[in-house]
Amino acid sequence: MHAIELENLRMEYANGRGIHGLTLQVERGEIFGFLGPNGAGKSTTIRTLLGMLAPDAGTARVAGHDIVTDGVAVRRVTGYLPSENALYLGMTGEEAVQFSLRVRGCPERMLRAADLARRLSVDLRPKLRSLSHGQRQKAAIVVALAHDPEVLILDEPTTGLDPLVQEEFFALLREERDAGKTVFLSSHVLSEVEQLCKRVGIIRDGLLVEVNEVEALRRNRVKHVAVTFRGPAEDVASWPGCSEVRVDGPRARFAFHGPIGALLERLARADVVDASVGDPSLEEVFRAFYRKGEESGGDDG
Amino acid sequence: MMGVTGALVRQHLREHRLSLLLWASASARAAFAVASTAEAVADPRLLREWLGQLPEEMQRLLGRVPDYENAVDCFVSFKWLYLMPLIGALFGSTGALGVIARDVERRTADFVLSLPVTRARLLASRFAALAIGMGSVYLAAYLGLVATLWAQGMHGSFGRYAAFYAGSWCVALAFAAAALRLGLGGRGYGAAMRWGVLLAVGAFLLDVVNRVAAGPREVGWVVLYGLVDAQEVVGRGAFPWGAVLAGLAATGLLVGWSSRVFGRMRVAA
Repeated sequence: MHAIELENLRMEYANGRGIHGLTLQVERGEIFGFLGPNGAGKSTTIRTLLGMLAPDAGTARVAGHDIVTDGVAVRRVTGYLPSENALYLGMTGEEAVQFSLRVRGCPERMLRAADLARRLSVDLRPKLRSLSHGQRQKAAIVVALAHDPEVLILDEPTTGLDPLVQEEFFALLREERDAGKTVFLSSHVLSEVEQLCKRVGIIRDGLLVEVNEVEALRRNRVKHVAVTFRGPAEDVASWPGCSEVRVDGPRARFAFHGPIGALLERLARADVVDASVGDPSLEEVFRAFYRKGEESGGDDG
Repeated sequence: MMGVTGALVRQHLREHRLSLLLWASASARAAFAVASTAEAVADPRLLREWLGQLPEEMQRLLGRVPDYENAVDCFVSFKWLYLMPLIGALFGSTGALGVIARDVERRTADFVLSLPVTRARLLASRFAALAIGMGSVYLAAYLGLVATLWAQGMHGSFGRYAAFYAGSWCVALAFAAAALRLGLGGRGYGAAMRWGVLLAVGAFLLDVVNRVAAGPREVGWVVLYGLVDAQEVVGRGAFPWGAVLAGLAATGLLVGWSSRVFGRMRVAA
């Protein structure tokens, strides 16, 4: 049994946006990265899984529970961290945790909450209103994890966290994974997904354009290259894997798709003064996937 | 199961404790202000004289001294009690938007809707908390009134006042339930607030105009306020069964309708 299973899940808003038939399986004990730009459908997918949005078609199960017929059970085994603060600002962090644990029927987990708060360096005693954005986010993480959920659904979890706390948070997630928990991590920050996840799904315009291992994604990734030649720029457009070439005197900027070794070999043969290779934005990775889909005439979604 | 409901009710009361405290203290203070003048005014001769100067239409609205067992009841009724259903309805209408609509507006819905409770239970628990809050406002107003009269050695028909408050509470609950439904209408929190308050005040004014104009009593029953008549309850000692039954029935229907709407509602990001 998968921890999360989506079968042709569809949820469309009146304006046509939403998710349009997602099929996906997330294994137990996996940290699964769910990537996409803003408005791609990440939060809609999560909200549909948690019963905030009713699906128009398809099915989905979380820890074996159907999201439509058994939504309460889904939410009982799930810890959810929304992308924006959703806690009552008039409460203290401690009150928010206590309330969540009481409703979940496990008030004894307060000790775990205290341990989480200590690890994340957050004081749960002040009113949430008086805390900084980052501290509120930490409190929200404690609330999401305190009841020791089987499945964690995290929507942009690192927003507002400083790098040290991020590290501790990632360590926490790895421990949860090692303990057999499943983490569904939605993000538009490729680097944090790369650090944590073995597998990722990429969503755009409500369609899954890729579900693959991070390594495979890396291989597919386009690089940004800027080269300065000693003389006039060479005909870079004719080099294998090069596209979107812009030449300005001796300088050439282009996108490269393929094994980086091949590019380095080609550059070594040219009379190059300077060269730099950079990561593309996530948006460009998406474009690369689309191009691949168009070339093969298939539909990745 | 009761533990979950109890936690939801307590959280809601805690979250809205400031507005509850303000309404309850304002109601108690207003009741005190009215009752503290009773000793000077509630003389049958004075009252008869004062009320007798009013136009016939106003006398119909406020009551006549012979309609009451004692002058204090008459004074308290025309000075204060007839406003009680409206006060409760206003508190309930604004408070009802805190049941669900405010959470959607402030995005705290993400937190409550991720809890393992059904939407029907969430809504019912929170409306129950609101009903308790409204009851507390009425209790504060009642205690403020009775304690002040008692302290002056004036003994009104305190049991009848309590019956009047109970009827008012049931009527106010129905207006709160109507506002709850308006808050789920998708027009936004501000619009729901305006329409909720307009409904509570508009129905009250309609009842007042109808009474002054000696219109058909059924108009007052339809807008519910006519079912809690101080002359009937305090003056003649009739328990406001109509207000209790009609108020609770309307509340049940409207909360049930809201629950169905909320159950299907898509709470978008």
